[in-house]
Amino acid sequence: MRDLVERAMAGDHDAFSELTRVSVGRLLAIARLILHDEAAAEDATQEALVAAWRHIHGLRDPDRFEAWLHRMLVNACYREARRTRSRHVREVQLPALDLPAPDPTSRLLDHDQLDRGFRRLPVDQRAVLVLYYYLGLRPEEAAAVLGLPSGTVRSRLQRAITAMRAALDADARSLPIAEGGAT
Amino acid sequence: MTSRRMTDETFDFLMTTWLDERVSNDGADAVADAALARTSRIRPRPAWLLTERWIPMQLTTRLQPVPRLTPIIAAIALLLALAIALFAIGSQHRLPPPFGFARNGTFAWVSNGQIVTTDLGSMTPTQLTTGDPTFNRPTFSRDGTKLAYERFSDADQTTADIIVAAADGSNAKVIDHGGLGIMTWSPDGRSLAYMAWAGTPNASRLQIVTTAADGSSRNVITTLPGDAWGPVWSPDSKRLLVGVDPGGYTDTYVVDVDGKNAQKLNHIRSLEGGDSDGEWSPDGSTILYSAGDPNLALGVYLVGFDGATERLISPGFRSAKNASYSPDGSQIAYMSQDYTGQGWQVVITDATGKELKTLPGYHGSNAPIWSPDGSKIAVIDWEGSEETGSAVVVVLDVAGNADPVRLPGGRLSMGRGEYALTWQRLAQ
Repeated sequence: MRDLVERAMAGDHDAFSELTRVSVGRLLAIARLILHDEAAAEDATQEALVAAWRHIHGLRDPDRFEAWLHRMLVNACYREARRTRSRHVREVQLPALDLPAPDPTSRLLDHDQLDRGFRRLPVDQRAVLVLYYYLGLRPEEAAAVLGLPSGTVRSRLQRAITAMRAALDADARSLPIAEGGAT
Repeated sequence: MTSRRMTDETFDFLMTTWLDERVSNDGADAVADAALARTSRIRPRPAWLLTERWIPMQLTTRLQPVPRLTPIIAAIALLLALAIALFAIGSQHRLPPPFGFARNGTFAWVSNGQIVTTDLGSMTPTQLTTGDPTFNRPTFSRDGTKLAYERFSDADQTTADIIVAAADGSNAKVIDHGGLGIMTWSPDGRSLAYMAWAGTPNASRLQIVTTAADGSSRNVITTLPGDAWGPVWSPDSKRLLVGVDPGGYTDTYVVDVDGKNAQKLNHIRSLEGGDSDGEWSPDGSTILYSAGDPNLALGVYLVGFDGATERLISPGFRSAKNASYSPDGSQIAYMSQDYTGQGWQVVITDATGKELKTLPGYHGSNAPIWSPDGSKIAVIDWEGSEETGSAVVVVLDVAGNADPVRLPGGRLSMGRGEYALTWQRLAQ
């Protein structure tokens, strides 16, 4: 991997192509998680890869290629989110859900509630949740990816978690709970 | 109606599994194809045109606040200051020569976006600047009396105010706006050189600006055949060494301060992305610089003014850069990385480039800065990786008689520190 990165840093497009093939699946998955929009995620991933090639000389430490590429992607997601903001607003107007018999302890329902809560979050909070929970980055590592002070990332993460938990709680309150259900 | 309360562990588990189950990379190949079709038609930008290269350091470590003084302590301090001032007035004021050995003064570097100084004796950091933390690139004048630095003034932090202050940070004055990048003092202490975007908005180029240290005059050198950067003054303060990009590669030029007599020194075409880090030998006869070789590993070169081809003095290394003459010009230090790729070490050669020794230990890849007395070399090291770790200033003993010193308060969370360390020269 390091050899590929160094060759790419030297201007070897073939090496960059190999890196792209290795990374694109993960990048696209992350973009989909952050943006919740198929077309926007593909655009953001493509833009991130093009930006990475343009700025490859800005990478000073080959071992940090992955984090650096994630940063490119998150920035591309922010740009896409701004560009497609109106579309996102429309997309969060979900049709009424045909819920199964309410069982708030079921994972299916939890996931559905998470999904709705996640969609309501601003893109910067979604990004930090994805970096933290999906990529498993520590706040300090996420801060490096996002180009933010770690304190900002911690507070942003805390706000996002609070919002997600509030969404779960609100949804739970809005559902009839069977006698003897979880409290 | 009731609400569910879940533990943090349950929530974490839910989030992790939910995100994992949502992941899909279907269609990734098509995205890769589209991206690569575009990248195959463009080339990367030169490193020195990228803002990543110029972003200022940021910090994670807070400086220790100055303890609140009681009136009595303040009065004592005032008396002491008065006594020191009287002693200083009574003493003959001596300045070090611009080249040759001198007494070690303080370090200046950047911490939390502010300019900070300390010395090897007290190890107590003193913050010289306040306000928005956008200060960078402190550099002492060669006589040690003045300190110039930059303060980024735009949201993108790509252009800066140029500020000149006394060495202790007092009497700071903005002498120019819109500066950029590496800034150097003329050895006579009268002028500064740095880069700035100049020209029309549609045809803007990176050009060299020279400004009187008091801001009374400003000149832009427009005669160079491309974007120009990294100006370094000749020992007689009459010429400048600059890197020039005529289009995708970097040439090494010297040019008179008035823009006349531009002379290209290198014969081998240096690839873009190489650091220049040029320096004059103290006698002005030789130029030391680093450049990208055809394998894009960086190498350190020596070239004179006799038209002879430049000579690589770091052939045994995978990469070498940031070369610097000792104060008396008898030795050269540069950062080197061998083919094991383990890290960067400081190599010391004689003035001809003949290798003399390698200082023990692996350190960050930047800035071997000689102490004015020639006994120490300061480098910027990382704890953790360059991007996520924090940086510290490490002072190495050239003779190997003392352990490395890590400067307290020097922990920095930053990406680029190579130009953010400067050592004050004092009269011996």
